[in-house]
Amino acid sequence: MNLIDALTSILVVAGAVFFLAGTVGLLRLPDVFTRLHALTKADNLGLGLVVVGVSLQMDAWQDAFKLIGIWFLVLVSSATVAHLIGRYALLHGYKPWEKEE
Amino acid sequence: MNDQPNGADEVVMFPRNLTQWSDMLLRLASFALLWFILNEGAMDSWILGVPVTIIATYASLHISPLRSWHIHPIHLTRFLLFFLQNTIVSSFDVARRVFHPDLPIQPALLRYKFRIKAETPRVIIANTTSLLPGTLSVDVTDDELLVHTLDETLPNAASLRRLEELVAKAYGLKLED
Repeated sequence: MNLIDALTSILVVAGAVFFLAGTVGLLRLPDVFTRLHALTKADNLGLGLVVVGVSLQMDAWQDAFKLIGIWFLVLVSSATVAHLIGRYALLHGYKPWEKEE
Repeated sequence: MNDQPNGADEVVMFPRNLTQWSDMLLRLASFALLWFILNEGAMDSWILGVPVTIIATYASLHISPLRSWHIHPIHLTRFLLFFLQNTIVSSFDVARRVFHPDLPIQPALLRYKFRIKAETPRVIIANTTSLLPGTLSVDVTDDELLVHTLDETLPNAASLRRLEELVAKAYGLKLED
């Protein structure tokens, strides 16, 4: 295993940890709004790390750019979808969860 | 949709000045680069690639008219770095909170008044907000952004002001207070 392979492994595993964080957040957080926080943010970095890790394995730089393009599109769509779900929830009377003092 | 700060929103099918020419060429170059990447640099793909690039550039004029203002490359880079840094910070922040046994969150809603008037920068701000630490845009009204915050004890409004300033500078817009 050379240095590039080792780096790829580290980055992909680190990415998986953030995907796990997103899923743990989905299960543990109390309402739709807080869950959106976990999913949009943790999964974006998770995918970013996986993309960087896999990019290192590409022979041509075009392929690496293709992967980065995928990451960018996921970034834009997840931010947009999070906004739409949040807006729908708010307009349909979901009250954001609040901490009891 | 009024897309430009100066109010003109007609579809300009041919560039009229230097700014519009540079916008047109930038679009052409971007679509060509995209084609190049998607086809993995195959030279014979350009038989189709050249007409498709030109058609895509003209089609884009209908979705978003040619700019009549400058994008500042240095400020744009500064915004992109701010964005990249905050995406990373926010992921660590949210991961720390969900893995923590006590689940340390204190959510609240925050109303943020836009200082920017133009439509496109506002959309960029709303989308970027959701990727900053602890903020999620949930609604955009006439002049306000409704933000759900994961922890109201964080300086959320200050982060949003900073974001708005960076976007305004990248667009070469002045903010009024």
